[in-house]
Amino acid sequence: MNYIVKFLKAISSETNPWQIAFALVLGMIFGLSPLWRLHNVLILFVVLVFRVNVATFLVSLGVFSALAFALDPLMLQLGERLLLADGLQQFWTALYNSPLGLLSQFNHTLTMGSLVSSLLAAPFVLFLSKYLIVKYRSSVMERVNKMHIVKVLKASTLFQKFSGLEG
Amino acid sequence: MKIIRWGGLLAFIAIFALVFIIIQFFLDSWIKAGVETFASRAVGAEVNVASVQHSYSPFGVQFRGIQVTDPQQPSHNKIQLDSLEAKLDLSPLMLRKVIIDDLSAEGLQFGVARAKPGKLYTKEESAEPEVSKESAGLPKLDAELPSVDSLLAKYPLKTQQAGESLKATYDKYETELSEQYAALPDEKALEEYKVKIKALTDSKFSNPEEFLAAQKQLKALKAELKAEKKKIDQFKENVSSASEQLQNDIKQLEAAPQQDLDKFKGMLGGDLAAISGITELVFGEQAKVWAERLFAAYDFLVPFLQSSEEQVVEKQREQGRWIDFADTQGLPQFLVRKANISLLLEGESIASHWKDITSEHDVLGRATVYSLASNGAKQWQALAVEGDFWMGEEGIDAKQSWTLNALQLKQLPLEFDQVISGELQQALMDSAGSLSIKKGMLDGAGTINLNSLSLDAKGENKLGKAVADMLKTLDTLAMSANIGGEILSPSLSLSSDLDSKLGDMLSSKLGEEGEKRMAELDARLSKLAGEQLGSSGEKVTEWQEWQDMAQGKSNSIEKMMKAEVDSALDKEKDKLEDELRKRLFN
Repeated sequence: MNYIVKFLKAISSETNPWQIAFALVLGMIFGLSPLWRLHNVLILFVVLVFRVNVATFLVSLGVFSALAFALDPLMLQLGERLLLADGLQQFWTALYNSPLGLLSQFNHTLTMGSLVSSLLAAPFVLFLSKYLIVKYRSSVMERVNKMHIVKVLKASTLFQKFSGLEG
Repeated sequence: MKIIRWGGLLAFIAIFALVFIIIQFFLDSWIKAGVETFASRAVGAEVNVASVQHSYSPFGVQFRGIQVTDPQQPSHNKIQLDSLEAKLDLSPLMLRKVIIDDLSAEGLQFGVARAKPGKLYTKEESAEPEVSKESAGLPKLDAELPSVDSLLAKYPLKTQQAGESLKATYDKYETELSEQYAALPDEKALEEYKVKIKALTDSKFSNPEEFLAAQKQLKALKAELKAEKKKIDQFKENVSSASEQLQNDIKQLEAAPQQDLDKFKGMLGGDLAAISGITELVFGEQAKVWAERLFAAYDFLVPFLQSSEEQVVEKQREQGRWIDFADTQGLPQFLVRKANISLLLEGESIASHWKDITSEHDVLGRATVYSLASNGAKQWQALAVEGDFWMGEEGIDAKQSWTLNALQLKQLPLEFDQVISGELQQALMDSAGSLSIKKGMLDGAGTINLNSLSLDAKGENKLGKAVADMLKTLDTLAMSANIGGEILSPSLSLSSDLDSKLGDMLSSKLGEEGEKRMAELDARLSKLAGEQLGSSGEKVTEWQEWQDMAQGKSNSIEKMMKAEVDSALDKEKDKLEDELRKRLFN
């Protein structure tokens, strides 16, 4: 809840839209992939060390982890097709026998399918989310803030509590 | 704006430090739980590991106090190990391949009693009904003389079976042959054919039209005769086949009473005279114990190796799957490159050396080889076992040979039937042999020689005493062993000249009572055979007569079929030529 509030505040604040969009994309890749994978360690490193919006990353992670349940069959199929594609066998075999290949666990169908799916979706998600954030701030945000329900919510103790936790 | 979040970097390091600490702290317990669960599932019985300790350089793990419950006897461990240490190759683990560079096991023992019975996790397939010794081919030493009626009622008689077979043959052919015989042309019909043919061949033709008409009639008659001959030939063939089968059945029936009598001779002697496996009866149980040790390597390794393969498949089905590509290193999923296992046998420590333990020899391209040697032990002079095995797509192929010199045997209770009890007081055992496994089937042979033998045996009745007395006189015994069956349920049979000696001796000890019963049996069986034989002999004779008659008819038809009307035409031609010659030259 805390992170949802922070996410809502982030998209409503002056935070750079690209920062939020990148966090969404990283959360998507992390959320769609199986947890213990090398690229997830790198994403975690980037999120923690660089100024990526953590709240947005965590919200994105939660949403895409839930979506993954529905998308798993499609991603499995994609991974299977890619790993068994005749034209790619030489490349996969070379990768399989390399240290990077060993660590990446690329030869797992779900890992391959989810990583490729999320990387393909990344540019669209990145630009679309940036566009939507800018659009929201310029035209929707003001009207939302004027809504009675939002005023009530903002005045609530719960909202104040979560907002106050922001460090 | 600063790009780097230093606090985040610290958090990142802290997260990984925490993960490392947790792993460091709990890894041993996880390995212990994992091994116990996996191995229990593979064996089907409780597996315990007292403690586990891991190390990073070299990467390895050490297990102490391993106990594998025997599913057949949960109060005992099938295998027990004091310690097992494995040094692993780390990089193949990333490919989910377990490659153990060096494995050492200390204090391997078999059949040690457990502190408390182990749990069983699978329903025992070996809930094979306890095979009775009788049905397993082991003779039963029942010393009472059974009555003739009980013998006839209890055991299936060959005489009876042969009689039934004879009756079935007779019933099968009797109706068929009678009908076929009735359908054959009788003497009257054949005579009519003869008359018709004679009339045609003797006719004098005044013009060619008459001659052609006669020729046509003769052709029609021959066609009829040909059809009749075909029927006769078919009948002859059927009679011949039926007679042969009936004669064969009669021969079997004639021989059956003697065969039954021979069998009953043994039974009357309380099965003793029919004994062909006294060696196995006396030494079989001990030999089975020795053989179990012989197969211990396979028995232990094969289920583990096979279930490790099944395990991977099951996991892969749940969440995606791992696709393996050509491995330049050519490594199987599981491999122990080198293993030294110290085995405790009869209180003696024996070192065994293994190379390339795996279940994927096709991938590795080499067989698992092992050797075991021990010289100058307290209980034996020399022991050597060498072997190799290959688990491929077509099953297990393996070879093993062994030699054992001067193993001291002392006070071993020997398995006897209720009428004899005994003990092998002492002996020195030499054994040598080899066995091979092809597609999971065992095939092997060996010798087991007992020297300086001293046996004590006591019989509970007259016949039992006779057997016991003979056993007591033995000071050496040369046995041959044959090993067969499937790898996980091997069968062992023993034989020696003791079998025939004992058989002869016991046959002569049937006694007066036995002789009387034999005579009674002989009479009963002969009567039964006579009844069964009935009129079968006469029937064969009748069928043979039919066959002879059919042959006569066949010959007669053949002769008639040779007749030709053109001989009449020739006669006319000759006459005309003579007439012409006379007129021209006279």
